[in-house]
Amino acid sequence: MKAERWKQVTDLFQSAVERAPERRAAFLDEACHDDEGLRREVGSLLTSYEQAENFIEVPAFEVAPELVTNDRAGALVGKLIGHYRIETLIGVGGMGEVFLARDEQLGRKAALKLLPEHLTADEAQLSRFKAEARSASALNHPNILTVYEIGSKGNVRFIATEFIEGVTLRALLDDEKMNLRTALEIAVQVASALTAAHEAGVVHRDIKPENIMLRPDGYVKVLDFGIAKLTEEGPAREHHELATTSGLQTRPGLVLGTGRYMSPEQARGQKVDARSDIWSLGVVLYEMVVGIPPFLGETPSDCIASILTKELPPLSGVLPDVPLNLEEILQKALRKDRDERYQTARELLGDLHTLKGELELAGPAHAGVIVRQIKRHKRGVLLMLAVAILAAGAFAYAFFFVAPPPPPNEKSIAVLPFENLSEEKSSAYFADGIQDEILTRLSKIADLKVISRTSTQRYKHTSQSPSQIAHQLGVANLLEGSVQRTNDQVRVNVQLITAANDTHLWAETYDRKLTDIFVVESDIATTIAKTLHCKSGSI
Amino acid sequence: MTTPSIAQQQVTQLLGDWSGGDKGALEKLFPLVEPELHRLAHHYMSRERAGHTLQTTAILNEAYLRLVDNTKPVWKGRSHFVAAAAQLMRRIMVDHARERQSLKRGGGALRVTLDEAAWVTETRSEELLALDEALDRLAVQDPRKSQIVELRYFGGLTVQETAEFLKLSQRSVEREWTMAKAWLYRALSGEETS
Repeated sequence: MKAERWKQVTDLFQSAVERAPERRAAFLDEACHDDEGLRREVGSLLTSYEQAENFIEVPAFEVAPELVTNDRAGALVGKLIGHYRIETLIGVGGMGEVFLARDEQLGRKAALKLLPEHLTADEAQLSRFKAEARSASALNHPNILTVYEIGSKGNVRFIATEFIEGVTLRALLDDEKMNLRTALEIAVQVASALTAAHEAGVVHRDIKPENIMLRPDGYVKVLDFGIAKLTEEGPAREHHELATTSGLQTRPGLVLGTGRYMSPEQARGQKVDARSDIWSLGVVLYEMVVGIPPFLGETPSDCIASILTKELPPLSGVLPDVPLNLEEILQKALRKDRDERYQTARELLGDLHTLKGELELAGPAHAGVIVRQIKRHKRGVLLMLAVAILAAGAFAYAFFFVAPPPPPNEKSIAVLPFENLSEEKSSAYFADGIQDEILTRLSKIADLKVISRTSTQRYKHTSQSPSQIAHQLGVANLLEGSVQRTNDQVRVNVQLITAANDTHLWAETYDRKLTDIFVVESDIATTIAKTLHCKSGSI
Repeated sequence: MTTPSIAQQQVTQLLGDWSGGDKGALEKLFPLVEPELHRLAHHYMSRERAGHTLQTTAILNEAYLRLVDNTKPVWKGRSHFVAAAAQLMRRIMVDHARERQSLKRGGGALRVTLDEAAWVTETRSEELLALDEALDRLAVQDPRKSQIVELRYFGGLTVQETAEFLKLSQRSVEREWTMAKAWLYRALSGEETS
């Protein structure tokens, strides 16, 4: 536009803007006479002026600070996705970014995983994944991460899960190999999760150290059940070996990490079943014990070749003094032909249990080993919060090493103080009340020995392991729990633990209205009585 | 008052050169100022999480205090600094927006777009690039309008500060801003007639 014309447009625009909106059109008609071009130009600027409102009124930096820091994840911090307020980025993986978030409806922490769009484009695949994740979560197993919600907001798909403070097994393994007993304890808990999932018809498909979290209190949690469904080839390509291989090569970096845990049938791109998870757990166990996975390769194809053809390197060659049974377990879990493998996770779990028992009889381990192991690893701390937790949790890891106490009366229980997870500190009395109520109800059962409240109160903020506590109180079982209260809603989480083998007899999460709390308490007491084979009257 | 660092002396010198008409001084100024803006932006973002509002002026002020030798007050030092920083801010943001766009095209990046009206990072990048380009076109037609937008939108200057820096009346700045805004809005909404 020529300078004079521009000036003409500018002047007319200014004069028009200074007039009342309803008089602008008439003013322009008058001022432009028969110059239609000018009329259109100024007219369209006026329309824009009227529509522009807050356009560029807020400085760029204040609107998009992430474009200054170039911190993409940072851009999401503070934003609301569904009813989750993003707090901080805690991890990035092939399956998306994971954020610590706050569930604003229930006032609790959650881990929010945003799924990459390319993985969620296929609706059919997505719904298969959802079905699996839901059924795994519905198991309510203490070793399976609880999924709160699989949802979407706009075109973002997300999975909200319980938030775990802890480290991934990957982080620990990156440091050095693990004490045998710790390795077995972790394997037992993972096998226990797999047993429950497989029996409910859910296959994990991607068991690897990155998907196994260790909590400072000794719980192992298996993450991401069913999520591997999102990357699976459709059934039409089941036998298509190249499809899997080339699919892998397009994602360098991701492959080497995950390819190592693939079962031979996965490597071939065949349909997988529960036995594939058994193989992967075998690889993880081998890596925990030896320090490196059994099948390696410089490239994804080399790794696949190794999985398909290489014999399992004998443990005795790598480690002296390795228990013979461990060698046998690994051999059986890592059979190339799945028909020769353990056929169920339960079988594997049984053998792991037996081996663990034998090792414990051989003498108590030194608890300091894993504590130092955890402290030494630096970059592995995935969750920022874990740094602080590790120091506090160091004692709790002793859980793995405590020798079993002499078997007390099986029908005995201590109800430990319930943890108050509510926002307000004042809800602490509420948590105490629930503990008290359950205790009272249990005391009514004639053949059940119940430890008094006075004796259990000192374990309120303890770092001792369940088996230590049970030993000190002379009981076979412990009830642990937490209470979270939000307005008129309450979430009660209970776990019935057998101290002898640190296993869960029962675990449940109740999400109820506050007014239903008595029903919950009664249900808890009744279930405990039933589980411990006690004669429960009216409790 | 502490002794100025070498960097502070350099920045001050370059600012003086730039306001004296040496265009090349700005290019030398950028690498000295950019890391500080980066750091401050990070810092302010984390404060925003704690409930503070982000303020461009506050950031540039702080950068000025840190980077410029305050022992020898330079005539209009601050406004010159802000004017330089506004240009730098624009450059940084446009570079990053471009980077994002190319990542998106290359498919290398994990794409997360949020529908939330308040925050559409991907869209912001696109919009910012479009705005940058329109601003260049506006500069050809009317350099002063383009500069006013740069100072206000990228430098966070108020009308009054802009007026002081450009030696214009506040009313003039307001008028020019209004027209520039309408023109840019039209350019971005694709309803240009000529």
